[in-house]
Amino acid sequence: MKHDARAHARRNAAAANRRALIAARVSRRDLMKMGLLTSAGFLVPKNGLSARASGGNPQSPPTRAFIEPLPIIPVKQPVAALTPAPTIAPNVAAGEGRTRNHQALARFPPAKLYEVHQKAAPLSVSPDLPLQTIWGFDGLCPGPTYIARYGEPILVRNFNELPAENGGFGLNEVTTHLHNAHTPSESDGFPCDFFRAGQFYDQHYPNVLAGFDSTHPPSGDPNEALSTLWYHDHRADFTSQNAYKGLEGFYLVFNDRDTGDETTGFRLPSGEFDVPLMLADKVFDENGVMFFDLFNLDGILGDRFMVNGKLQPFFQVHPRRYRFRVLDGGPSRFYEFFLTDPDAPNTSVPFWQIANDGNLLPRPLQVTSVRLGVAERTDVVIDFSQFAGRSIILENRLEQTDGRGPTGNILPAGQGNALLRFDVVLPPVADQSADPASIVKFYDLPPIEPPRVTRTFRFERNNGQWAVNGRFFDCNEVRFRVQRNTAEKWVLQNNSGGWQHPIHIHFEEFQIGSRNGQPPPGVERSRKDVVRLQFNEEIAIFFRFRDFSGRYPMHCHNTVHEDHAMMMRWEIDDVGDLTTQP
Amino acid sequence: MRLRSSLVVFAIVALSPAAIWSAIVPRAFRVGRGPEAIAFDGTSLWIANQFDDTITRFGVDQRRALQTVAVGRRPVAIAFDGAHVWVASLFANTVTMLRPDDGSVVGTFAVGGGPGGLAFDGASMWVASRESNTVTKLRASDGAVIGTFPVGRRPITLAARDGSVWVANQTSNSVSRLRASDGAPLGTFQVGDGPFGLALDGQSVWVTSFFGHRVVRLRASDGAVQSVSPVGDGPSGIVFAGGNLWVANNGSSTVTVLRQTDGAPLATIPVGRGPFGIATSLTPVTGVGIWVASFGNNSIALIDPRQIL
Amino acid sequence: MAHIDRRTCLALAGSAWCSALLAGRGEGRTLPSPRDAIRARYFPNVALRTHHDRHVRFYDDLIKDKIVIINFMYAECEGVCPGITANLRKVQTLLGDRVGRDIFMYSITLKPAEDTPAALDAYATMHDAGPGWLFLTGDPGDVELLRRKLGFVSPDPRLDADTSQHIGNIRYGNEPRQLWAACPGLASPRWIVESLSWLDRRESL
Repeated sequence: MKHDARAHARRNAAAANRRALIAARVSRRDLMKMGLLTSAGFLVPKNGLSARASGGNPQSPPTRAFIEPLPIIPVKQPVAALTPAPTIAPNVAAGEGRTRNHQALARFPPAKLYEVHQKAAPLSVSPDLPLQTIWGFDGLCPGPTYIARYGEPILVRNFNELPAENGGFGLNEVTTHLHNAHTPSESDGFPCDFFRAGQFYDQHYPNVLAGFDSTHPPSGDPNEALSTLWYHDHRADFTSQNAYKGLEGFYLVFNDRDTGDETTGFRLPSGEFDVPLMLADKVFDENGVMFFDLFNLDGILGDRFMVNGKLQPFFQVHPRRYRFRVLDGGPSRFYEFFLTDPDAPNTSVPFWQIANDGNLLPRPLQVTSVRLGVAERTDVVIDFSQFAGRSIILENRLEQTDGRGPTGNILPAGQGNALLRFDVVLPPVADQSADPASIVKFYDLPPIEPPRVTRTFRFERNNGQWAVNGRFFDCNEVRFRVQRNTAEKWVLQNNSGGWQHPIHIHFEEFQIGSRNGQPPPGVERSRKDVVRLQFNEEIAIFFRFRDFSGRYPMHCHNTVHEDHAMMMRWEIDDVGDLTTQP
Repeated sequence: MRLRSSLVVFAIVALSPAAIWSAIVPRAFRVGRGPEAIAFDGTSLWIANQFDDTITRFGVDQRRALQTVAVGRRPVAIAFDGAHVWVASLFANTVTMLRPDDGSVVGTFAVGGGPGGLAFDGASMWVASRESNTVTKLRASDGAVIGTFPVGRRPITLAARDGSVWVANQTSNSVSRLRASDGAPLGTFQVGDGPFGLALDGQSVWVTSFFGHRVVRLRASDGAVQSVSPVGDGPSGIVFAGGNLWVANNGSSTVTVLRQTDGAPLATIPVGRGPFGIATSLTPVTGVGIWVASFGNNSIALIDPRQIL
Repeated sequence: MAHIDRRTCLALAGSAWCSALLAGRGEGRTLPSPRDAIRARYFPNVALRTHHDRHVRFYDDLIKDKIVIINFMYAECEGVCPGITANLRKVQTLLGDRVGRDIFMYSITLKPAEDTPAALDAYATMHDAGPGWLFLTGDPGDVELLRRKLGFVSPDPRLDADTSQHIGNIRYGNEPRQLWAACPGLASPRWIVESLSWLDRRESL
């Protein structure tokens, strides 16, 4: 009863609010600029977003958009030395939580050393909300960006200094996964390789191209180069909580073609014009404190949109090309982002997509939108010169009303979620990057060879829990074994029910051989490491398992599904097996 | 009306309300990959093997597959109109019409927007398109398109009876009722949490609520809720068999039996993984059979209702 | 950047909006502790009866200061419930005498109207449940509230949003440490015990 009366009062108050604003002749454009339009295009009701907040979650308090600038994430700096020096065997006496030897440390001695400290820290996401206590790498959310180069191995000493007091969610036992580098298993952040507060874990990242010890010795296949990776906590059963709490960051890799210098190689925008954007949707409770629904098993939808740790920031840019590395940082939402011109919302604004999951495409593709599931990344090039003096908004128009999956509806321009506003107000500067229209080729797709075995994986619900082939995740259970340096074909299947899954497999990039029997469309003709499995889909992927051995997972990257058993452990060894429905 | 009824009315001995079996293990038979849809033509079952792009004709009394026929990509719905078998191919945007005695294809008709649901109203075959949010009425004799009508979002299943066609709109949480003669909308009724399957008994519409673990019974005239029955996780297909409703629970891999008079759950039977479609058969040798298509393990399962009730 | 002040806010939007805005910044409010916030949101202190017909309060007697495993069942269920109950019996065996001492197992009925304490006692006996594992029933309204709060049912049926599924999962948690997760009720008992052990650490090394 009380609830109804409150709801009634809310609606009345909202109506009065609308009338007042309309009377003030605030234009629709101004409303959008002020962030006062909801996803349904209505004025923000007085106590939060419209009733599209996911069931059971509180509705976040009102916050204004475009009030603060986009944070530029600091670059991680190496250290001169680590004490004690890294060893192949875990240094248990010194407090290392690793349990297996580095398999390739001698072969790829680190050229750079890093140390990172996972700890609690305050974060201001908006002037309209109190300071949040987050868990971040070096106390930052997003964590610092690693800049790496192929051929330059590194080692990161990862300290767990997280507190036992978790503020309501999160567990201070962590394991950090670098998604999706070609990394030896013991450094890959396997879900049960977690280490405790007070311990550290040395992670060795060879930064080597796949194939160095198999198909393309001695330094690997150049066509397997990755550019945009990200790192995040991957602790079994608590991944969604820990990642939501802030344990995520970027890791960018360069080489002699994607050089980081826009005057050389592919000549992609670089330096201050190469900007990572981490998208993360959040919910805040009635006290303005970041909230995580502990007892949700379908997926969590936020009603506030964070980019690089700020809610709906603005970003002042020069009228030239920029490269943005856009990541869907979860926990569960799918995005399809567009560029919306507030003065002419119904016009399409094209831009260039140059990478899929950190893999530069065979060639740049001109697009008007990009869809991302959790953990998918895309690199895009936007040329702001056509918008000099004006603003343009990065807007998510994919409708999603609950954590299970998007409805598939694309909302009209201006009625989606405004993520970030680009203000093209800085003075003109030289642009020495190449026009993507003139780039004929990035890389070739590696050829698909006959697989040693074809395995089928059905993604299902089983007695209310998420399962693959009817079984649940158990860290100790090896579901199948792959023979090192061979190729396999994996078939992923989903049924008509209402759930959709972004499936991620560690270790190497795969190619989508077919989506529902057909070769994949345009932008999916790429190497990828996350594939969206939608209704009735059967996706065949092809990949190899080269060079290293050990345990790796496959899982749904809707982090809430992931934490509720939609995962399996497989291993690479020198023998392998031929199980077709593991 | 050329509907071949496969229902039978048999006397049910009074039983205790919560008599539930798990000891019964329905017999399972392998079919093609990823079956979701199943229908009976009087002697055989037809199963849509969505990942093989084929349908299987399964002899009920012979207890084995008799034939496999290629159809358009991703067949997810099957229906029998008394004379022909119809298959909707979701990705091919076609509906295929076949002769049941030999599986020969009579015609393949374009129906756009992701056809994924079928129902026969006595004269016409209705097709639900999941992507375009429409239903299309085809003349049953030759597949000619008579009309296309808008419905709610993600129309998954259809059922037809007494001059009305009902549509379960999964994403808009509603069921639509259309007049079969001209597609005129007769009402749209709220049914929460992802309505998936439909069964009609003349006075009521029984709707499985996929995300709500329940079956909701609506009064056909005005959509008023008459009963709500708890079932398993992810209830999808639902069918009448003699005084009861049989519901396939996709997420718990069971079949729930509900009493038609009041919706009370009577039994829960474990079946193969991920059941979706459910159909009844009536043949001389087998008598009545309840058949469930299990997406998860490429099989169909037979439940003998006499063992349960 | 300057915070929007109350006067500007009023000019823009109106007093209730502004109150919410200023309140959202946590000005002038003492916040509940996270543990209290979790208790208020998820653990109503409803009255329940155990299968020994003892009266208990859900939060005060069963959850507070404890490590717990919670699942839902009902006595005449012969589908998935017996499988989970049998599985949990093996978990109890592996946990030994810790159950009832610092780890507590609770099976709550989905049919409180039918499952009297006596019926639950018969069920517990049938499955050989040991001490420290309680089967619980209560007033149907209270049990229904509990079921919703624990996430076994959609909290707000009006929204076509996250809904329950949890026929087969078990929730496990360490209440004082605010650690909560879930795992399949049919997962191997050894895995369930291992998952539970994660919550049970002494503090950092």
